[in-house]
Amino acid sequence: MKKIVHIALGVITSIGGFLEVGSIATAVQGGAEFGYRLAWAVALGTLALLFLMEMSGRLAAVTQATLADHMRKRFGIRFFAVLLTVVLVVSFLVLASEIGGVSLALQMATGISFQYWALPVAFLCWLLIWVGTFGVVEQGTALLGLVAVAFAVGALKLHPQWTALGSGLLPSAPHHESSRYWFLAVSILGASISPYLYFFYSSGAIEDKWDTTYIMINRVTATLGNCFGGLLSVAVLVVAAIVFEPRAIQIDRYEQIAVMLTPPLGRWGFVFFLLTLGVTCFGAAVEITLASAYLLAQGFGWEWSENARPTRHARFSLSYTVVVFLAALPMALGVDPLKLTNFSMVLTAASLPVSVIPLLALMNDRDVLHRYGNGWISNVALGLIALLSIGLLIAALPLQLMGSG
Amino acid sequence: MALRLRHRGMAVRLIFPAVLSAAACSSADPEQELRKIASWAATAHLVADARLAGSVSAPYATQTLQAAAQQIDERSQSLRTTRLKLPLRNEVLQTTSELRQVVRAMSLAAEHDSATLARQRSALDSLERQVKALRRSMARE
Repeated sequence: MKKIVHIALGVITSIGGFLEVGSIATAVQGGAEFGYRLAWAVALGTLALLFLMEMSGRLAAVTQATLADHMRKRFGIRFFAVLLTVVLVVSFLVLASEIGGVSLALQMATGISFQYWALPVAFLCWLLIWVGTFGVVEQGTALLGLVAVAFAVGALKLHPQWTALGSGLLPSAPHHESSRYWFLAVSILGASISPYLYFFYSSGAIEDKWDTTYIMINRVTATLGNCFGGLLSVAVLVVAAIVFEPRAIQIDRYEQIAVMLTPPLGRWGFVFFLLTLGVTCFGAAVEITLASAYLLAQGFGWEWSENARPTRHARFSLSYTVVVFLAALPMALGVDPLKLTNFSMVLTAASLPVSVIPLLALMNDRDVLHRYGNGWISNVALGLIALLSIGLLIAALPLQLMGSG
Repeated sequence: MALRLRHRGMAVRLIFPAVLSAAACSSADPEQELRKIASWAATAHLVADARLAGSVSAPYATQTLQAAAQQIDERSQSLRTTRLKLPLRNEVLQTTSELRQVVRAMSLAAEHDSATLARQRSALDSLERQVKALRRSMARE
């Protein structure tokens, strides 16, 4: 019974925490410009994240050490310095975008510019981390994030063309604007497979004191949570495809997106959209802030735990304090949130090899994982994700230059 | 000190977006610009419909319609610098100018004046059709 509760809570947490500013913005842009044709990118990103999270959770459950700990020990401090820098820079930009997402939701609700909301939002993130425990931070925000189910309701009420959606799940070459199409595909993949997600997941396993009895819980949670979360992302793309594509609306600013649920849900559609944007971005901002502090603490060998009093692990607490307030600055200074989101999603996609390829070696180290090492299915999946990550690294910069405008 | 901070803020505001979109925006392509204008006109239409149905709040509708007017204005400015042949160029500039005025009027009416908003939305309808026709003419050229 306890395990079922664990699994249910884990799945709900994964669903509620799946959508965030990047996945919303990129799915909407994809749906608005290419209809259902980029649904495959959402599905592929979800599948890749599912495998990466399952592996990082399994590694933590078996060894009681985080993914970052293993990477530092196995590949040395020089490699870890590169990994730390890359993941921190990317996470910082994504965090700034998430703070922008919450601030924009508040702007659209109140009429007060997002710039004025950035610092108060950062303060609220910090306060929740300062006073909350890991369970409160992770599950509290994710439970509220279930409001995103409104997208699934909206998509169903709009009666999507299931055959066309099914075809969209298979990768296909675009009929027009190929650089824009591939740019959005890379952005969607970057939004789905953010390194902070699996580093955070592995740290969370340690916070929750997982051991080998959690292997099955981890597998079921990662699989079901990501599948249902991925369905929500597809629902966002479907609503955008039905509402925006026939009207030839190309998304240049977040304000355009807020109206997308009003055709199927009326006034509630607007309210649910703002709640979804605000709550999911807030949840993601808290998670990225914590993930960055975890990574710094694990990299420098500091003591860390979100469950301990902040004063007990002062350097860890200082890390998240500095990170969250610094990340609010670009928004407070008026940087365009959508441009920053697109830029950070492409950069995220380009950063993947540095964390994915080492995972392939770690997950096959029998000295570390014993009988819990990767089987052939996981190895084939991880090998393909590694190849995909190299492809994304090569394609990201040219596509940023050609397809982002 | 305050001045220095303000200058630094301005620098970040100006430089950061420029870096983000470095080389991303192509030199003004008239078809692309007109497509963006049509996209913002359609956005204004959708928002006005939602506002008239009472589905979105007044601050949101006002801000989004203002943003639409501003985007149409900016795109119209860059259309002035593109190489468009004369009769078509004048027609495009005339239509986008009217479009900008209509969307601006909609943003002013969004808060309290539903009747004006509905009237301007009808005007927007016909301008949207003109933009569509202009896009077809431009494609033929």
